[in-house]
Amino acid sequence: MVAADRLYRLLLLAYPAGFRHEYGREMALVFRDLRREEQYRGGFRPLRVWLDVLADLGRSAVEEHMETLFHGRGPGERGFGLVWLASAGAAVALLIFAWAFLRVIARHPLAQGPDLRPVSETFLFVVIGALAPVVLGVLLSVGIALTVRKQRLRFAKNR
Amino acid sequence: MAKATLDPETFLPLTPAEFHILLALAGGEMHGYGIMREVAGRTDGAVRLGPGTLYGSIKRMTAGRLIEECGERPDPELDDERRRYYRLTQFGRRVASAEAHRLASLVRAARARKLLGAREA
Repeated sequence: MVAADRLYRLLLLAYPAGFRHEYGREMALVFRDLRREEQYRGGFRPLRVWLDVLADLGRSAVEEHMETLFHGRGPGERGFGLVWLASAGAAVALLIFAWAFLRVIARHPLAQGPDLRPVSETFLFVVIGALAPVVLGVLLSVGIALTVRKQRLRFAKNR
Repeated sequence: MAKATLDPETFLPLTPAEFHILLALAGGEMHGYGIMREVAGRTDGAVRLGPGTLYGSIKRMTAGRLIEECGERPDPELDDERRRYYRLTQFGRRVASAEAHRLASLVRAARARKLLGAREA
């Protein structure tokens, strides 16, 4: 198996376990077929395959987790959907926070662009700066609670 | 299952991905990559279904009994890896037909408002 196929199999971890178990093998096969065909055609096509696949993965993984959250088989599966969506939200919040930090505070050359008005800059920074730790805090608490619960259930089963 | 007796209209409108998949399967049973190629070919590459969108739609349409799995076998055109094949159910055909009629009525409305044919002129 080539590295690209291995990497795609790893990325499939972004999907809920139930979906992955049902369709993961088929999705990996489809990716391999697509990659082979585009590689054969040459040029920048393999790069386009990756861009398409990553965009598709981002969109469809969120969709599947949303579905798991609302129609999951049990609290464990629904909880995992919630944690996953919260992680994705926190990652986006952190990215925005990093961008705001670079742009407003550090004035890093990478963050240079048309200037925002001072009021909106401060507002943006305060809101994002306050939101990111809250989101992270909620995420960590939920994650820890679920891990502890899972451990308890496992122990209860083994008794 | 109760859904099989439902009115096809309750499934409308289909998402573009779902309708493209049903259109592909209306031509006969296919595996996932076959569906993907058929859709890309029919739309001159304008619609490219990714594996996640493809199997997410397949999952929902299988649950709704619009399509069904019809075995696992290798595709002689590709390799000896076994692939799952899917086909349209009778109910799926009715849903696809209802969606086609819905889209046709939209096209008629667009034609009546002279929105169609403007590009050719």
